[in-house]
Amino acid sequence: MPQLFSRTANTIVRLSLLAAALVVVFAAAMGAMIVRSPYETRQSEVRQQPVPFSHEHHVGGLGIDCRYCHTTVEQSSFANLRPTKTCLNCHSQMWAVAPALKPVHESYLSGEPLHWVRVHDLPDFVYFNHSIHVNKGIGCETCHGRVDKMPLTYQAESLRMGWCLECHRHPEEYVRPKDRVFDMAYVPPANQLELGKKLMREYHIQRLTSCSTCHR
Amino acid sequence: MSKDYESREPDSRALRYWRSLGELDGTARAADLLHTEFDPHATEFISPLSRRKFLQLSAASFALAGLVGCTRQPEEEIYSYVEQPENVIPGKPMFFATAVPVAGTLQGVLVESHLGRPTKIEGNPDHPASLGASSVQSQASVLELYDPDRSKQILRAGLPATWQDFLQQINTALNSLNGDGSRLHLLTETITSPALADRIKALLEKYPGAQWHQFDTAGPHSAREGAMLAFGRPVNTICRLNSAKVVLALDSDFLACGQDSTRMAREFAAMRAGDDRTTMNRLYSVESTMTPTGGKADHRLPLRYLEIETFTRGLAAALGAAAIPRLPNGKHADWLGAVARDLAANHGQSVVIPGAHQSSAVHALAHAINAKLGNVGRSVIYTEAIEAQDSDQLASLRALAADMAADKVGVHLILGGNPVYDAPADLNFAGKLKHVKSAVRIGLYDDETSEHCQWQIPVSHFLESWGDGRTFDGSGSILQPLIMPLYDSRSFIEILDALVSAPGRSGYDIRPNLLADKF
Repeated sequence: MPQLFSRTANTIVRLSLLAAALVVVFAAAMGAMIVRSPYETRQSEVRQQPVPFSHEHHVGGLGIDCRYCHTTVEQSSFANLRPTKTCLNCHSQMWAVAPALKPVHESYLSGEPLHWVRVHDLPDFVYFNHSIHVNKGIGCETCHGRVDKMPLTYQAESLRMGWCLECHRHPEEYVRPKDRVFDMAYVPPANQLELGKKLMREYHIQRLTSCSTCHR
Repeated sequence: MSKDYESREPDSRALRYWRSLGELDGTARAADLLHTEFDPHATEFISPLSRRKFLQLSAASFALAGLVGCTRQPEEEIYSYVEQPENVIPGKPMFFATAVPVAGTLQGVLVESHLGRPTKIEGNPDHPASLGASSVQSQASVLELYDPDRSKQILRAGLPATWQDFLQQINTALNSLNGDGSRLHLLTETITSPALADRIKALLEKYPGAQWHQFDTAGPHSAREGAMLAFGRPVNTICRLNSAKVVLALDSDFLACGQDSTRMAREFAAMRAGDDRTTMNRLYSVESTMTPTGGKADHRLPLRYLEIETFTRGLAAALGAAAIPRLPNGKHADWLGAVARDLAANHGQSVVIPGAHQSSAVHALAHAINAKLGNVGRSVIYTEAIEAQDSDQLASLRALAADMAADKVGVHLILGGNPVYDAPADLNFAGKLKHVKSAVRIGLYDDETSEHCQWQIPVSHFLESWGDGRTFDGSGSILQPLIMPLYDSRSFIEILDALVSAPGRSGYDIRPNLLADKF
């Protein structure tokens, strides 16, 4: 009986085996990349809102404090959205007839709340509390980015668990003095590590990395 | 059950085991079942979906469900307030004081509210009927508010109708009654609320011939009868356990059951707190069934239901509380003697608590024993009855049933309760309700009674309405709503008010007239 395969078949078999292994590795790598990609995390994605509200104009331009609208950020887990009435504190006089602000005026007249689209949405199995972060010297800008430079609001960071843990493992790299928490343009000093360690002691900050800190 | 299984002598040669009462009795059917593997009525499971296939499919579903975690988060909306209410901090609960009606009396509570939705009920430390704790009924009542089985709309003969329809038709029906409204009957549960009683009285003034009946299946019927035997009039008995060193429960589960059990458990626990055995209180429990109170007792004596009256008579005789000849029954004489000595040794510092379901004789004897032991005014306090109007509920219900059978009821308003389900079966309440032309059921659920009435009117939950009532000691409490009614419902007060005065007044409008000058 003659040989069915020539000698070159050996090479083909080896290459196919290698290719099969590579396909598996490639698929796994693709999967890992997709779940980390901005497509999955919705990082930097601008959401369609009922009113094209500009943080750049209100925070950067006019210098309105975060807490003017997000009133409960220091007291509660949830950083409240201002009621429609707060918008009208100014917009009953300024830009009162601007078409872009029509939904705001309609909301106030009809009593129907505005339907904002949530930009920072953690999964429901994660517990997160704004007040504790703000009260322990974590700046708004650390997680939310330069909101004062966002014409339309987007999510600046990935909000993946690894990103949370970076800070939970090394708070000294991110913590800032409490009076600078709402400062958008804060630049960490050169001796941040030294200052961070000092603030950690002062604010009683622990390295909270146990699962049940957030997955309660 | 006619046979007494406990007293059977076991087979003398070998202990006979049995698997069912039928087998023990030796009935023919039980004997048959012993020798056939399957019940003759059983059918074979011949569905093409085998157990293995079912497990495969469910395992696959569970495995694939995990993939959901790999998708993008769906977009979520935030609705901000238009005008933010005062003091509301989203993410932080608020607490409001109100009261939970349990069997007619109120227990003060604090209700946790998240953005206007009540979620959890806990005790109110400042309320005498709560002392910071709450009962199982209070805890569960918040679920009743959100119960999807609640009656959600006005029904007329099972079909949706409007409040205007109802008002128009009921007023027509009421006007067509004899001049004084003598064919109008009102059936309620026990009412302690001054505001509701006031509206009922207004209705009775408008229709002077109308009759008001009260009935609670699990109401304190024996306690009332016992008070009539002892004092000739109904009284409200309050047991102050925080001044009692020796407590005797006569088939009473005062630690876990009954409208006042929360306070009593607290007071009892306060007297137990001392580590020192000489200052700790002592609890004797004589009971016909296992209860938490019996479990807590230092000394527990299980007796049959009927033997408890015998025991009480024996105790009354031993203490000289009542002129009863010592009964010939010598059983438990040692136990009885020890209890009697202990009670006598703690003159004025003991309390005897009869069980709500025990006979009126036990209640009357308990009054006599407490008086003899000098407890009255110390650990046992009597006040006026707290019901807005006292009545012999069973007699009243019997009269109502007779009137219904004799076609003497033209309009029947049933407020709460569920008499078709829980009135004594001998009365045949459902059958007699058929004689009533306009039967109106006002209740939280579309239940058996609603089925036999022409109208079903949903009532507001107590977390949705203004109201008032009395606590165990007769002091007044106010109910305030935590949320607007979820459905097209009104409170009893609002519904009755609409029948006697201009309709449309809310419970809050009615409240200041009544509550302000009643307390």
